[in-house]
Amino acid sequence: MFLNKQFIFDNKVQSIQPLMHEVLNFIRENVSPDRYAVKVNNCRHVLVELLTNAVKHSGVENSILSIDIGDKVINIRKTDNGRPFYLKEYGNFPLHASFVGEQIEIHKDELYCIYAIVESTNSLSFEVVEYPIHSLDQIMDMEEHYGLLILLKSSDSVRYLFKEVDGSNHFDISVSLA
Amino acid sequence: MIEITGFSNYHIATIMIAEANMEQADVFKHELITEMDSGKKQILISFENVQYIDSSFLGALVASLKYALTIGGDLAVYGLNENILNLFEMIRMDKVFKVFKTVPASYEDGWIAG
Repeated sequence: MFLNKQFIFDNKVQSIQPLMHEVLNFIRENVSPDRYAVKVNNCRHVLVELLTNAVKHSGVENSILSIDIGDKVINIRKTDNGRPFYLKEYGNFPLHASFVGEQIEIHKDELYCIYAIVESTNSLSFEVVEYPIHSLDQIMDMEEHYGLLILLKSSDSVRYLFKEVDGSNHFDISVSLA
Repeated sequence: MIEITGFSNYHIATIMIAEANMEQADVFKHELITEMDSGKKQILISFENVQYIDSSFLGALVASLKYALTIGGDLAVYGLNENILNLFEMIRMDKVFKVFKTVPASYEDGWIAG
């Protein structure tokens, strides 16, 4: 079984919840009830953060949300033609070929470190490392940015792809149904 | 955004919106800090009306907790629906905020989950 459906998002914050419900209904109708019950929260967190990311960072009027449902995985892809993922001193996409294979620390506090791994000049994957919580001081040093962390913890993989041919950005999130 | 009421020896701040998102985050933090500055230092935040929370609002919540700790105050949360509780557990916010399932009778011994 493989199903796909696309949804247009107008990048407005008030549209997040109605679209989230629409997408979750599509998933619920096409996934067994037991699997849906286990994964619905993961999908909801991913949708909220992908759509919030579009509102905050894309700088364009619309994004496309594409949902693929297979036997073992749900893939959620957000596509837009807005601003590419920004890696500070690494420059714009496409990245220089010498960066391929590098593990770049993009966020670090006392609880988490998030890395971007340069898979190719046009793609990144992401990983998170957790540190134990053992003191109040760690709370005072906590960062206040959680979007990427929520995507990583809610899913099995998070990838970013920049397509040179049309300048489009793609965030691919996989949620395993296993 | 929040309604604050006195209860026992602390205060309850009830979030009055269903969507705790990026549009509401700054107002929420400002109102909560204003209440703390007026002397209400131990505040239980009620999420009973909230359907979902995004990363921006979560950031405002953490910023408010950090502010509370700098002034000798304390924050805890209550009334999380299953979806929000799942998010808290997933990113270990339940180790940062004390999560109450029922309204505690009184404030005692600090609320930091640790």
